[in-house]
Amino acid sequence: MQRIVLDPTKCVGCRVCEGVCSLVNEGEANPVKSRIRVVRTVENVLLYCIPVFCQQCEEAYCEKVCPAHAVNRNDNGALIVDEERCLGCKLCEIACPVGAITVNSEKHVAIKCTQCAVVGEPQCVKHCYPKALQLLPAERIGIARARAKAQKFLEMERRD
Amino acid sequence: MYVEDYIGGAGIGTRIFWEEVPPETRAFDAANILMFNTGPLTGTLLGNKATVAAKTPERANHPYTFVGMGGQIASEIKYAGYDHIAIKGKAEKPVYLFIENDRVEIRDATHLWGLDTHETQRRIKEELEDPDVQIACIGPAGENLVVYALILHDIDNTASRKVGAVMGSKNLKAVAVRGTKGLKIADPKAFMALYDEFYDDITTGQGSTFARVQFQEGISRQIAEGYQFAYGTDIPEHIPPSPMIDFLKKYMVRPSGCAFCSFQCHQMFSVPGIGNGATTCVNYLGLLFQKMYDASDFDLWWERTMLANRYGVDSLSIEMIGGWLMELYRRGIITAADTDGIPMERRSREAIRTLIEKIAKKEGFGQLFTDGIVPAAKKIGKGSLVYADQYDNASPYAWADYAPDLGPAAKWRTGEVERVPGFGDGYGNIPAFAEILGVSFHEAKEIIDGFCSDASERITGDRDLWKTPKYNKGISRITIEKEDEILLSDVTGHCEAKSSYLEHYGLRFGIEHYAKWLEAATGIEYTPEKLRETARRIRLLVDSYNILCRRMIGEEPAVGMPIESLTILPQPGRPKDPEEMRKVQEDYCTTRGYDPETGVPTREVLEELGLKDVADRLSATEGNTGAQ
Repeated sequence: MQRIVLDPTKCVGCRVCEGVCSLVNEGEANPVKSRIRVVRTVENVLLYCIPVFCQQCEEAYCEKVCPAHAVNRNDNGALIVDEERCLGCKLCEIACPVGAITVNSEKHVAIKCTQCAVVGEPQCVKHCYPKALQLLPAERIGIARARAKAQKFLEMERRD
Repeated sequence: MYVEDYIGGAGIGTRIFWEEVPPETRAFDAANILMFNTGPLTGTLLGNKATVAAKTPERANHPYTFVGMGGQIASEIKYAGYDHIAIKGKAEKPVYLFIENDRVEIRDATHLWGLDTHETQRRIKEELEDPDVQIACIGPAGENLVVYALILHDIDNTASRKVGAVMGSKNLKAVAVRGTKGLKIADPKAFMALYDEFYDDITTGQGSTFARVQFQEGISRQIAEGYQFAYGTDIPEHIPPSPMIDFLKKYMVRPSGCAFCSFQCHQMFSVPGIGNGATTCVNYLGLLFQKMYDASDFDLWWERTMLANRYGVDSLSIEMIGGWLMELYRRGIITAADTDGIPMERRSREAIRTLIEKIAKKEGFGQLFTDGIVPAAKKIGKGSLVYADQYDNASPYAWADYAPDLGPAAKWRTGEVERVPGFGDGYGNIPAFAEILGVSFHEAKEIIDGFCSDASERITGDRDLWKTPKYNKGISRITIEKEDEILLSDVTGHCEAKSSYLEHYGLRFGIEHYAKWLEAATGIEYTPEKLRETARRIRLLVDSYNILCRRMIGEEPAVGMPIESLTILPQPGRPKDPEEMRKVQEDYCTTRGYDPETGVPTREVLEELGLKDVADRLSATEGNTGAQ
């Protein structure tokens, strides 16, 4: 089981993830239909960017709250919306703790990250050149995060 | 019909302009149009560029110009469902335009009048209760019709070539856009495959790596070094790191670039005690001019960059005007009494601050400069104009600019070949490039020379031609190719900074690729030949229109510095000989199908490209020297 891991300090806000996501999953250039959204905030003439996307929760409220049982987990551990079954009731939207599932106003069904189940490889990760997004086996994520933090101490300690 | 002949973007925009705006229109007339154009690729993964077009007020006969603007707004316009926004007329009181998909509102902006560019955006977002609305606005300079005012969007993406005052003349403070409709892609799979090819090259290709070094810090570094390492110089193997590197390391925050771009040439800076903002490498040119401060005084450089953006004036025009005032002060032509008690000392923070603020707010001595450097020199007198770096009242750094008639225009353009695209201008970055690639200094240099030779061969058939300092036919050919490339980026919406316009940096995606990209995006068949033909047609239309402006208005350009002495990048081994310049100009005109004497397009070439109506209008006005 693999998960998309975010290091927000590396995001430059280029939104390529939004572009590839909507193109691959919807055949459109349309950030509104992207399952990953880059939240851009300007404060004191500096830009801050945080990509928001489904974390594939272990206990998934979207799955639990869905009256139509339209949200189910696939073999890779990704939660997938069955668009045939989806009522567009938006309970998942309300329940999601991350803000990563929305009912699209054109399709009238919930859309969310499938880790690009259609092509087998998350395109946002593949096209994230600053490597703010990475795809890692779930069991390696802990040490990967620890290593990233430890790097800072390593830099302090390192001698020539 | 427009799509067939002009594709989109600045192409269709120019045709609309030709139809709608009589050439005798002056920049601040209500009949002038301020136009935001997007191309067919804008809003896709392969395009994010807008062009802003208008008849502009700085130069004689108010030439029609369009300038690129990056950031997010071009895509947002597209997502709202528009290819072009054309603003005609004039509001009675300050307003801003708000577009949200099909809803278009002209809203009161009285409370925003006088605010700087960043505060304006903040207030509009607050007022509309939408932090994601994309805004292009003017600062006080645009409101006060300062002829070199700019339009600014988000964090310091600018349309900086003279369009700000046109916006101000319409009492239009801002354009705010929100679009949620997106774009359909004709063949998503093919488009994705083409994008992947581009993405791989742009993120990991050798040329792109070099270009990235150049854009993100390299150009600044070379400029701080005074471009001392160019082709033809002895390049030492150990180039000492420029002091600029320390400044960049300390204060560069991260990129804040345009939508869907993995290049990110636009960098944010946060300098304590001065302020926050962003810039591309273009602004670094101030360090090269060294007119207001030394090449090592990055604090002053940042101060003027940031203030220029905040007040909404073109920073390089400020550089020329400030440098000129400081020179006049040094020579005793003016004293502090002429500048409201502030001595125009070179390297003075107070002088730079005051200058920008007073010009933008049209206060005190700043009022002298509202109409540009030549009118100011007339008011100051005392032979002051001699010391101004200007041509036709504009600063001599115009990139891809349009002059009102072909005589000077061709000189500007061909002259640029010796400056921009400055083949071999990246030598100062060989050490950095070698380090990233893990190769030796000599190998890195060979790779860079290879980029230049490849480009030279493709365009002129001669690999070594770019090394020739003397006149050769290749100069006009390279000029025309580069003009067509940059024009097609204005037409398609793909940014020229990551295109073969910069082929000498090793960037290889250009006209051949645009044809495929356009086809996958729109479903309409395009060929490179068709694109080149379109570029020629648009260029002819722009030039013809500006010739009509000249004939109908009839002003003489204020000729300043001798054209051959206009320099931007001193390139060793490339002296400018007026006779050689004349030959280059002749080649240029002959190749483009213009009369080499007058610079006017011939009927033959106009009709060949389906512009009979343009030829007729040119014939009908022949010999016309203005309404006066």
